[in-house]
This record gives sequence, structure tokens and C-alpha cells, in this order.
Amino acid sequence: MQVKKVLLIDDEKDIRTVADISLRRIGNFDVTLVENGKEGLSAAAAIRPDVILLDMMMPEMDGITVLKKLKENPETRDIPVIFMTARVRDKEKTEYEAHGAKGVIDKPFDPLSLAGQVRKICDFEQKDAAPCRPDSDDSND
Amino acid sequence: MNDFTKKLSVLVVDDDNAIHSALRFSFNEAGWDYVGVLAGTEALSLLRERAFSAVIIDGILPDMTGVELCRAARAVPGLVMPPIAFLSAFFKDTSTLRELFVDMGVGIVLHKPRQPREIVRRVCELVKTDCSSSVLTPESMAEFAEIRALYIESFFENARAIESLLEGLESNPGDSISLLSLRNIVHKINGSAGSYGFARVSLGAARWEREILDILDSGLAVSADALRGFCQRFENIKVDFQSPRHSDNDDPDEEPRLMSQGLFASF
Repeated sequence: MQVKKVLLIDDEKDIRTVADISLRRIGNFDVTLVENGKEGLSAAAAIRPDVILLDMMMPEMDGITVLKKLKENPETRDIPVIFMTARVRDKEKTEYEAHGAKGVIDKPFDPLSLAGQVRKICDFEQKDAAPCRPDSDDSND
Repeated sequence: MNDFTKKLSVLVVDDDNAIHSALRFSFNEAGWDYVGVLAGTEALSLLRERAFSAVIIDGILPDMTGVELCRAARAVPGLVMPPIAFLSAFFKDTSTLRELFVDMGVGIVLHKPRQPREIVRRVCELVKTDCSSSVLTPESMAEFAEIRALYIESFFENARAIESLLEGLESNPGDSISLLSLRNIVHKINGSAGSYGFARVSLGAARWEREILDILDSGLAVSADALRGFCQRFENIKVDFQSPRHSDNDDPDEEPRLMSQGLFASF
């Protein structure tokens, strides 16, 4: 099975730490961690990950801005982006998806099932060797 | 990984014979071997001699405190301590909790009075690895245990920052910068605590964050009532942090956010 590359952009160390171990140890992903949007944009263009996990609330550049910039760049616009957020209000999920996110994973996430959630949203199981399609209409529950 | 074909065994260190009678009955009922001792020195001898699946340590013993027993056990070369449940009649301040969780390797703190069957249930959760063993190697388990200890450290740092912001808001209720800083810290706790096994802490933080956002949206100062509410939220979070897995009084609307905590149940 081809190892999928995940780029995680989150300013919070506690989240990067637990997500890193979950994705590597349980999901067998190749994980790159960065702590802000600027680094995230560079890393996305450089490593071309199979999926980007993007925190919503970050200082300097928030998740929505990072997503817009990713979509503006031809090198990164097809990479599916999953928002990770501690939602406070229910309407937020549809708002995020309207911005072009492939899916939303709620924080706090279960470290045992994070990798599975990512695979499900990106349909990695079925399309093992192919990059996941950003416009496919699969479930992101 | 634990071998679940072997019988589980618990060592209970408590100077109260009534506690032993009640716990012995409940642990035997659940199929555990029960060994009870009244003092810390006896416990140390037994821990040197044989392995247990878990140890329950009372906070105050005739010859030493529970913390001193943990410390003494950790100082014994080659002694691998089983998961520790700390039994206490008192809620702990954050520095004591930090010492218990981070320095002493305590897995859970159980407050008296508590039903014996509830104690058995919590200790079963503490030692079980069935959920995690299917996907995790011992190395991964160790890695997760290590990051959880770091998270506990980081929680206490956040708690200190919250205390200071609440004090600031008491003297200046219209300080929106402090309120925003408070929101940011509460948001972090909301988003992370559950991933480290503290689901109820996340729930409490989520409710608190909503209240803070409502005030920020209104543009008003924090009222005296709201500030009292904040302090209560903070106290509740600290209590939930001490009892990360209790499931009573759960709000059914929030239930979906109480994710499986199988991973961290084993630490």
C-alpha cells in the first residue's frame, strides 16, 4: 500500500503531538507538521501532500485564509483540505465546507480513529494508489 | 500487553479495614485477586515480591502518605509499578495533582466516598488494553503515555494563565483583550483535552467558550454574574480534570462529543 502524505497545519503543539502519533502509528501516514499558515503554504507546494489537515483558528493567518491561498496556487489547489476545529456553533461546519474544504474533523478528536476519519473523508481505502479527488461527493461525517 | 488469560490482581493500601471489606467483596465479585495491606511499608515489600495488575493507594497511611509511598516505590531499582489509582478524601490543588500525575505516575485520582463497584469499574478501565492492543504496539503505547504526561503539564500552564486572566477581569471587567485571551485558552482546552482522555474537560470548555463568545459578540463588559459563572466553569474543569472518566450527569445533547477514550484508559 502506498504511504499517503499528510500535512498538518496547527499552531497548537498539543494537537500536533497527538495527531502526529495517531497518524503515523495508527494510520501509517507520512506526516509533516507545521505551526502556521505561512509555513503550511510553502510545505504544501514543496511536498505535495495527499491531504492537508488545517486548523481553523490560528494567529496571523487563519484557516480560511490559508485555504483560499492554497486554492489560488495551481500547485496546491487540487490537494484536498480537511478542517480541524473545535466547533462552538453548529452552523460552522457547513460554512467551512462552503469555502471548499473536503471535510471537517471535530476537535477534540479520538486519537484511535483520527487516521480512519481522514481515510474515509478522502476515500483512500478505495482509491489506494491515486490521490483523492477534491470534488468527489463522498461522506465526510 | 497484558495477558488477559491471567487473573487480574489488585493491591489495595489503606488503613481502614471497612474499606478493605467492601473493596475485597467487589473486586472478588469482578473476578480479581485481592490483596489488602494497612501500611505503606507492607505495600513496598509486596510490590518488590510480586506483580499486580493495579495498585490502589490511600492518600494518608499510618506510616507515610500515599505520595511518599509512590515516591519510595519509584526509587526502588528495577521495580515496575502497575497502574496506580490514588484514593483521597480531598480534592487536590493543581500543584498536588501535577505531582501525582506527572511526577508519581498516578493514572487516576478517586475521591472518597465512592461506591466500591464504581472503584472497581474505574480500576478496570485503568488497566484494560483490549481497545488499544489491536492497533498499538507497546512502543506506541509508551509514546502516547509520554505525550499525555506532557499534556498534563501544559494543562497546568493553561490553568495558571486562566487564573491570572480571571483576576484581571475581576478588577477590569471591560478588558476585552483579556477576555479574548481567555477565549483563546479555553478554545485550546476545548479542542485538545478530549484527545488526551479528558472528554468532560473539553465539554466544559466548549460551554464556557460559547458564553465568552456571546459576551465578546455583545461588546459588553463581563458582569459580576458572568464572572462568577466563569469561576465556576473553571472550578468544574479542574474537577473534571481530576476525574476524567466519570460518566454520570452527562448531557445527552453533548454525548456525541464524548468520544471513545479507550486509548488513554489504559494509562
